[in-house]
Amino acid sequence: MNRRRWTAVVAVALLALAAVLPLVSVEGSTAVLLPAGVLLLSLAFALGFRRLMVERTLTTFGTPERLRSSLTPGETLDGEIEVLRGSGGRQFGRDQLRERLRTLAEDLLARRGLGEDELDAYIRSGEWTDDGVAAGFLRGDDPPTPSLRDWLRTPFGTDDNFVTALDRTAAELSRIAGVESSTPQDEDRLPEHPNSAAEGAKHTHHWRGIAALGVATLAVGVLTETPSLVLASTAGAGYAAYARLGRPPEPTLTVERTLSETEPAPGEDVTVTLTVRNEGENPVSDCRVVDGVPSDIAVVSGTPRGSAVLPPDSTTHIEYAVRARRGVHEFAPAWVCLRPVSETVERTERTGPTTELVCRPRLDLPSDAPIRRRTTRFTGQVRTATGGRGLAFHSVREYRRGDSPTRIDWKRLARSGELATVTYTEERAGRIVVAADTREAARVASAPDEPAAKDRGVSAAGDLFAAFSAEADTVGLVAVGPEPCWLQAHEASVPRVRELLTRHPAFDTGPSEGTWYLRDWLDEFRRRFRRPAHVVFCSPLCDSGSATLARYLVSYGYPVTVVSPDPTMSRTLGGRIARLERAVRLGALRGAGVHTVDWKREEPLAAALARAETRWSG
Amino acid sequence: MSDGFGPARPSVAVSFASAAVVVALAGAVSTFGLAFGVLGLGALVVAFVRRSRLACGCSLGALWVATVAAALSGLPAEAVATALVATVLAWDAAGRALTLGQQLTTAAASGRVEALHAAATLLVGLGAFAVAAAFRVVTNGVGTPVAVAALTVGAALLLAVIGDG
Repeated sequence: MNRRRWTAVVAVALLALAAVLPLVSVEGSTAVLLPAGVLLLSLAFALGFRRLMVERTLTTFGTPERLRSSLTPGETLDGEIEVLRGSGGRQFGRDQLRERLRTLAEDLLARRGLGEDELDAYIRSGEWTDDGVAAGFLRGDDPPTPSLRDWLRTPFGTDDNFVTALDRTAAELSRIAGVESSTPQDEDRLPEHPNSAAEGAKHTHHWRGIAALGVATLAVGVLTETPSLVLASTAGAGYAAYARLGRPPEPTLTVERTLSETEPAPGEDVTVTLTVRNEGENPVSDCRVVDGVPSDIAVVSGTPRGSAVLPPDSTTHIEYAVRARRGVHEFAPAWVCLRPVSETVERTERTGPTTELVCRPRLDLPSDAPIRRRTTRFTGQVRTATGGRGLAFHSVREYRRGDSPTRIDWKRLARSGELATVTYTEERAGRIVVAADTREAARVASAPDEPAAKDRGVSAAGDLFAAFSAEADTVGLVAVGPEPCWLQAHEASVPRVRELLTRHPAFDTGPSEGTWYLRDWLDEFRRRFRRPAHVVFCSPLCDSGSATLARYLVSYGYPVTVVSPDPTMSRTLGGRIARLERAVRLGALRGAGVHTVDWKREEPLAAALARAETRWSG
Repeated sequence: MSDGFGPARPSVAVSFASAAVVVALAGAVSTFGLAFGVLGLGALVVAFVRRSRLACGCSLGALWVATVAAALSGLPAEAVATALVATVLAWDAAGRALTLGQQLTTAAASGRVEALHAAATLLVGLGAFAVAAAFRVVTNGVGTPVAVAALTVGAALLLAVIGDG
């Protein structure tokens, strides 16, 4: 016999009891009341157990307020370090991490002018640092046993001597590299939350097992012969009946969305108003609405969520503001969840229109920004084949009327009496190719829901393109990523680039799908840009691939300037190591003759360029 | 509670107020009832801080024990019914607070919806008791309380069976 039949039998028994009981007196009827009480108590336990057994799945709507999550630099490394914590045979992983830091140390200490063997001996000797733990770590020694105080502070079952040594080595190398710590306050944002919403009707199980309360009250009342409890148990019975009354509400709502501006500029706040109207004849007692905010724009004020009690022909409004980011963003239909008064069931559906928000980059710089002047620093880099005004010696030719006296070869005049003019390699505005790193490796951010460095790099590429276009004749734009985009200088114009950065999939703010091969990209680049060109590469340099690309370009004769938005933070050990690695990469590129612009978080691009120019001049 | 997905505040207030009613009624006649009432209140605090539905259930159990203890100590039937309804309301509002917090965050205004549900819960409990009490008065005590209760619980269970179908 199944549970439902048992329930029916008990229900009929109770009704029969109700019919019989008035004939007998409550007092002194133990023969009747005891079995009835035990039966009711058993029933109460069964109903209560049923509640415990039921699996409730709460409908949640994720976190549309947040930007799509990006990895933070060092996050993967933090995961690896976490695995290494504790005892166990994970020697291979530890050796790999030790090797990674040793390579880093070699790259860093090589700047002291040591040869390969000398460098190895230098690191082995431990002379590079005063910290014995760090010196031993790179030498390959086992981490020292911690002091009693440190041991007591270590959670039971974990063995983090290795991690402590790793941390101290990273700190020591960071000190030598001059890497400053950066740990800004975390902003008060919503944490990531699951989205379990699915269209359709379902039970909420809100009242499941409430009958147990009424039956248990009745059982105790009967067993203890307490009329007040018996009478009060009817309230519990009322709830049991109430829990069965609800039916999924009919979907009678319409949703409209309006934007204060459909084509805003980047950074501009747009007010979104969601209007929800009950078109049905019955009131809606509980409607919960969550708007479908695009995943690449963040809510900056208000909330895209709301609830309302809606009589027929009534409306409610939900208002919030989003901050526009470059690209085309589509608002999805809103999630609407309807519940009856009893909340026993709910109906969830997606309602309303999709709405497009198009945000084109300005590609113009503030009038007080010195970037236009800075561009001369780039355009002067391309050496031409002809002699003229410049710094590097090119040739000596016969004096021509009008030549500057400063360029006359006075030694030759004294020696042979011939008047000759020295010419230098002419430096003039040449071809510039702005390359934006759009690989997945560049989609890293200082916090999971902050705009990724890739996005900053692409924006910088656009701004620099516009600035160079005003100075140089020929400027191209390329994407360094799996989705190809090659815009030759003769095809490029500011309006075209603005449209490309808005709509081209290569510059999308979301994840970059597909595989990118350095060799293939380089071959294609060299095929398309045969004439000398200065490459301005916008990349966060958070992986070795980006630095390798810059070095290859230099080796092929393309002068390179790297504009590098910095997404690294010092919050975690992995983050600190990633920050150190990026600093070492920047240093190595500088050593290879690459001009670098280390663009700090929340620093205007023009200010970063000004800082870099001071360094280049020095 | 500060990450935005904390319990909806109006329902938290309703829940605590209802639990306080139980504590006051039970505490007036029974020390044992008072102790369990306070335990129920504590479980509610845990439920909101830890966002735990299990703690909500524990609170319901503790407040119910407090109500039963008060009834056994001689609390009048009307007060017992009030305490029982308040027990259910405290649990119902606590569950709603957690659900709304998870679905809409504390930033969204949901006071009207919460008030409507809480009022309905209050009316259903008190209404059912009022009907039973009126039945007892009309029949002038011929129908014993046990008969009245058995009648209503039996009817509710039948409704549950039909509803399941």
